[in-house]
Amino acid sequence: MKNRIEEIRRTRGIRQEEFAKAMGVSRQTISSLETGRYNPSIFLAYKIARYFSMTIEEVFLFEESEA
Amino acid sequence: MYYEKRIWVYVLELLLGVGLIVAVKLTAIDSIWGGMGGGLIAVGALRLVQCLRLRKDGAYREQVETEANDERNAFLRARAWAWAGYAFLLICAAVTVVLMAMGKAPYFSITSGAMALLVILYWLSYLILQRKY
Repeated sequence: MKNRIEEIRRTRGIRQEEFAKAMGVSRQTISSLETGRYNPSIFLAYKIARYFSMTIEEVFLFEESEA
Repeated sequence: MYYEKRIWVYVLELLLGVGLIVAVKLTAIDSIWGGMGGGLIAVGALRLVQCLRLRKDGAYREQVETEANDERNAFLRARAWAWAGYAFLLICAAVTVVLMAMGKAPYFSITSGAMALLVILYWLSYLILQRKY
C-alpha cells in the first residue's frame, strides 16, 4: 500500500527519529513504512494519521488491485 | 519493570553455573556439566550486565523497550519462525530421502518422525489460533 508519510513528514520538517519516537516504533520501521516495504497495523496507521491531524485515507492510498 | 525481576533470575543462573563448575572440580559430577556451567556463567553475566545497564541508562532502556515492542519487529519475528519451520521441514524431507536411499532405517525414522511432529504442531497451532482470532 502506498502512503504519503515521507512527503508529509518532510513538509512538516520532522526527522525520522523524532517521528519514530512519537509513534513508539523504531526508526527502521518508519523507514520501511516510507519505502512501502512494510504495511502498518490499523492501530499504527490510525496513530500516524492522528499525529499528522489527518484521516487514514489522506495518509494511506488504498488501491483496489492490492486487496 | 520486567528487568528488575530478571536480575534475580540471572544471578541464580550465575550461581548455578559456578556451582556446577565447583562440583566438577570436586569431581562430584561428570565433567560434561562443566561446559554447561561455563555457558550459564557467560549467559548469566551478559544478561546481568544488560539488566544493570537497563536500570541505569534511561535512553538505552527506551531503545530496548521500543525495539521489543516495535510491531515490525514482532512481524519479523513471526515470519522468521515461519520460515525456519518451513526450512526445517524441507531439510528433514531431503535428509529422509537420502537416508532412505542409503537404507539407514533407524535414522530416517527419526527425521521422518521430526517432520510428522512439526506438521502435528502446525495443525494444533492452527486450530488454537483459529479459535483465538
